[in-house]
Amino acid sequence: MSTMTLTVPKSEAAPRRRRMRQGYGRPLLEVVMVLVTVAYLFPLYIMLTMSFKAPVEIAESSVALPKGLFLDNYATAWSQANLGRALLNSALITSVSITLVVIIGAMAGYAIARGSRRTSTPKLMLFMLGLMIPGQLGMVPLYNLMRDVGLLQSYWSLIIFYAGSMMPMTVFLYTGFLRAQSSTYEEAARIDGAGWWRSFWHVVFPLLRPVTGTVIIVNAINIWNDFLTPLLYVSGSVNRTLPVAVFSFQGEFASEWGLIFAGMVIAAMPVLIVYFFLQRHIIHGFAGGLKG
Amino acid sequence: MSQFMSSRLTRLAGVSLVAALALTGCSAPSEEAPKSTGEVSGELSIATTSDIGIGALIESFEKETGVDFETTFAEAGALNEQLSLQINGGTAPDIFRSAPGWAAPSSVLNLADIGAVRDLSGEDWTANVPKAFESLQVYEGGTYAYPTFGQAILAFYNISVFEEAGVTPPTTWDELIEVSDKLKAAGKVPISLGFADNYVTQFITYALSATLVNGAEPDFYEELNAGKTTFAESDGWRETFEKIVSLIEDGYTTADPLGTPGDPAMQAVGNGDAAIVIMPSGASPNLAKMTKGGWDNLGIFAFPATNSADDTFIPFSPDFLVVSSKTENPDAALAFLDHISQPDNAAAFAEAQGAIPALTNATPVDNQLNTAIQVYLDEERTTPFANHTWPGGEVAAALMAGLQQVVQGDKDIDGLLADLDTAYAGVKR
Repeated sequence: MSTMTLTVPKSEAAPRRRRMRQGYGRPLLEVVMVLVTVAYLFPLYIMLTMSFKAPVEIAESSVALPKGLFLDNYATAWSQANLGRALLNSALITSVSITLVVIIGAMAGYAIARGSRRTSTPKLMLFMLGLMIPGQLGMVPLYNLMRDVGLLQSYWSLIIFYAGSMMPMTVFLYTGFLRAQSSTYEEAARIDGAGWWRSFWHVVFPLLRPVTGTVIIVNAINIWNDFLTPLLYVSGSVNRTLPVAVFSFQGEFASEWGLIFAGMVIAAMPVLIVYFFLQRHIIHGFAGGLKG
Repeated sequence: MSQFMSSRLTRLAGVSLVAALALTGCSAPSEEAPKSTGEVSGELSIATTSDIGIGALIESFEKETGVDFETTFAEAGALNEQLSLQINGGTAPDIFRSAPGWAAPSSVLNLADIGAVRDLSGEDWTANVPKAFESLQVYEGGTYAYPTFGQAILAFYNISVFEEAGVTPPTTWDELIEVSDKLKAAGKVPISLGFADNYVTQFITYALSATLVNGAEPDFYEELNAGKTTFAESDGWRETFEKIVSLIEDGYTTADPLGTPGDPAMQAVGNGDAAIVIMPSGASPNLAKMTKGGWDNLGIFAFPATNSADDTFIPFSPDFLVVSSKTENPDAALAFLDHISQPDNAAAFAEAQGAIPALTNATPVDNQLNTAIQVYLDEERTTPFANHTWPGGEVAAALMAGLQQVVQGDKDIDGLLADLDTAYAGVKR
């Protein structure tokens, strides 16, 4: 009896699945995929079209195609919010923070992964606390700390914040990746006379490329898009980042949507350009970064 | 990761670090001694919502005195967040923007209460502060803020739409209903309401309560604070909400006010789908940009609440600058306020902002907005925005949430008035 109940549905289910794939199911799936794609592309369409519309045109319809290319939004956004400087600020803060995160995180991950199990587990747990404790709890004390050491309104306030806040996830990724790797290469290097330092930089670090790619991508996107921390630390100064600069077009009672969307397009451009040139590595990083 | 990316990463790291050090060096404060050409010198920091108007005044003050300014301009909400942290941390700018009364933690009277701002009572310009502003900036006899420019809550309308429907601006409640009927018949939304943004619920409420409460019951707030009356006992407040509900229920407003945010409500007037929007004058430059024909196609009137045009009051509140009590350069800060209080400068600041000069001695500004308001200023038929006189932001929060619930049908007006009384009792001083 039990054999019957197990085999009959199985034998019926397989052809049904085949029919789904080959028959009416396939067009249905494709329609769903097209709808999902449209849903994903729609905000992008709104962002682009609104950025080329004058306020009067936006008032008429926010969904219709622009009647012409109203480039004033880009010119005004660029000059009024000083987006050139904001772009440079964002690029600088992101790249320096990422560099520190990768160097320190990889070394910490290596020390934890290759240390004795008795000491490395508590150390890893300590880093994991950073993932479990909500960042908002530290907002006021951190602000006071930055103020007391005189770093407010400077690049370093953000670089130190990001390097610290991104460290738990980075150490977690590196440690997990390294624990899944054999230590044969390092041992060979050490037999050949390399010290810990040399074997890490010349043997281990190059092996960490996949996870380093993941670390760079995930953290860089988070830092580039972060709004609250730069708002608190560098808002109003010449060192403000892109999201804060774009936010300046949000008014108290009304917003200038054309300027906001033009600013957003300008802010998104560097990320898209980097993605365009490095997409092979980025996809490889995502696909292989966590497997070890 | 390829060799290409690895070497790129190394180069990127090197370049980033060098550039960071170089740029950090560039942005470090100058060691050079400040110039001094007059009575004041040194540096001043200022934080406000926009450089419009004040930017030129800062520049002229810098030229006249040699004082160097460090400026921060940010949207009001973000600025308040930042200022709250800075005030608590003792790093507030020398001069900064503050809201009137007690409405928010960074409002003038709250800051005066905790000693975060300086008493400006001795300054010459205090003689030109309108009496109506006293409740918003005077704390225990001291004047703690400089009023930069005023904003009024008014009805802005699309002139083409009015002409198409053959109507003129109403001056009484019955005329408003008559005009609305004609606008409806012409296929237009008479009053555009964007209640999806809860702060928008305050505009029509304060526009009506200025007449029905402040105008008709001038002692109401004094008695409320003394515990002699309540919102629930106020005929003016009850009528305010009844009128709002009746406008919605009778189809004189946007069909789904709770599904319409503030910006689309303004856009509807701009594109001619709707006729009237009630909003603070500070938003009028945005409305003009959205409207075909700009300012030439926009009209203004005081929103009537009764059948006597002479009884109409308008809500009119100033924006403030305050001086931090921790400023290290008080002489320069006070000199700057004196500079911007000069009649021409006060007028230029307000005009650039699309606002109304706050000081009584300011040079009159000749534009549509100022003309519409002047008669009410002359006849002292203005009153602060209701929330600015309440002792805490909780009352306005109760109003915004409660009125949305009333419109939704989840609460009645008695419930809303009770909510206001509860919130007021919680913050009463």
